[in-house]
Amino acid sequence: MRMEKKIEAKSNTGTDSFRIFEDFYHKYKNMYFNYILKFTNNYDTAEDLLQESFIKIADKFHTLKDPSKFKSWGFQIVANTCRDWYKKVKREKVVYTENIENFEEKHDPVEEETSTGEVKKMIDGILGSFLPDEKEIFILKQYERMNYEEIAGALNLSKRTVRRRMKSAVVKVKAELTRMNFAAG
Amino acid sequence: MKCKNIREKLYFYHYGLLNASQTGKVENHLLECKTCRKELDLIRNRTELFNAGDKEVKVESYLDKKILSRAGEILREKQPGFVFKSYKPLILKLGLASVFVFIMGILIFRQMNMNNSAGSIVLTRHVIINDQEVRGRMHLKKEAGITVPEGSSADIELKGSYKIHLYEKTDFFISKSRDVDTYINMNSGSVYFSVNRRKEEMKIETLNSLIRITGTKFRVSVNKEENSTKIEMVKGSIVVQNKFKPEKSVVALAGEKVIVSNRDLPLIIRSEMIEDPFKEGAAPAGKYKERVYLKTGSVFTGNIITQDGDEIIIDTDAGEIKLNNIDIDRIEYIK
Repeated sequence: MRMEKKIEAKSNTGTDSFRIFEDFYHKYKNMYFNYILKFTNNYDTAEDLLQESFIKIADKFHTLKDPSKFKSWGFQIVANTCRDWYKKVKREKVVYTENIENFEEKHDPVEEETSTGEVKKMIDGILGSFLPDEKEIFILKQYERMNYEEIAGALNLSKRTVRRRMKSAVVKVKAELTRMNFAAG
Repeated sequence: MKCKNIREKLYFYHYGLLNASQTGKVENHLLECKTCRKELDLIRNRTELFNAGDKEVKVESYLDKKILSRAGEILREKQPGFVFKSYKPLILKLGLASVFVFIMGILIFRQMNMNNSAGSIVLTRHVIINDQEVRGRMHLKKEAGITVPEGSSADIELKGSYKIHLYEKTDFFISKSRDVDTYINMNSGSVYFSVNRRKEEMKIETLNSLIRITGTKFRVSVNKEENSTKIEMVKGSIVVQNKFKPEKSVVALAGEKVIVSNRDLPLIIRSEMIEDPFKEGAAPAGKYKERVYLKTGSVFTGNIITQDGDEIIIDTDAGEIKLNNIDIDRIEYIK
């Protein structure tokens, strides 16, 4: 609590609030970016949405009451930006092709076995079959290893809603992974 | 049969989606059943596939730069909010907010007033403002070119900020500008300035000199024929600069006289104090009287208060009289 007060007092000048913002930015940018990347499955879109999110964060930075809650506060803005993007894409009926090969060529190409490539394709297929509501929760659970309480906080949802949506995501995961197992076996 | 039921639930168990009693049942069963334990291991391995090829992608530095520079701009604009939110109690917040609004209101009102007029003017005789003959008292607009004819004089006053006395045969331009509160350009004649240090910053330009002041009393006289400017100090200090040789500037103190000619460094001479036209008993502007002769032959003596379009109001011993401009034959000035 004392620490928070200190941060607040320090942030009275523009440069100080920028310094605090910069600290937060470097601490969470990669986490936010990876979330957006998984949500959109498109590198360029993810860059655009990350920028849009941080501009919104800067714009609302003065409303952040408790700097220790920056992570989830900022994440709500990131998640909303992703949801807005999804709605827009849906409305415009733009089909985003998931160009995984290109993405990997561009960013740190790794020699991969065909089977790994197929697994990735399947995983992306599963993620692509999720509704955005399910997808955002699944990404946080599976990749960010957050618990349901944290997810509820980050997405500003009730714990019940989070669990319900996760359940419907897990039903899809279960079906796909079981099918794959039969195919492999 | 029991195993089949448990296996149905294993994915949900793995993701922590079962309630306490169901979790208990599954865990009890797992302790006993090796097959179901194996099945759970399989599920763990399969779901790990999600993370298998996954590694953290780093944000590239060009994007960092782009985002941080935009955010910096926004944060600088949004600064005041941060100060405000530290005051937690609502009452204090509301109180501060209303005080803030009140002060802003006053400041904006003042700013508007200041911007709309350069001051009010009191005339003794008559002057020409923006090519129109004016008598009596009137408000100056943001900009005004004032010519004071022979035998006349005028006072300009902006309450609390400055008093300016224009002597006869003065050609004078006053305006409110952005970089300085009041800008004055003098072509000829003499002007006495009494400026309040705290409120007004004034810049005076003559044929050959620039004078920048924040508060003092002095008289500036311009001699067009000799192309020289004379500044007589009464109070305070000012910096006088030769317009054509900006490096040649001097500081003049009370009781000194500065003469600026085109070529030289401003010359400082000790001189006698001049009379303050705003000092009590120093024949203030309003003490002169006008005698108005009408075409009909009538004569009125008094002070012209205002000239509004075609009408002139003159304050005589018998009270205020309204006269029509076209009825007036001539106006004479008496002491």
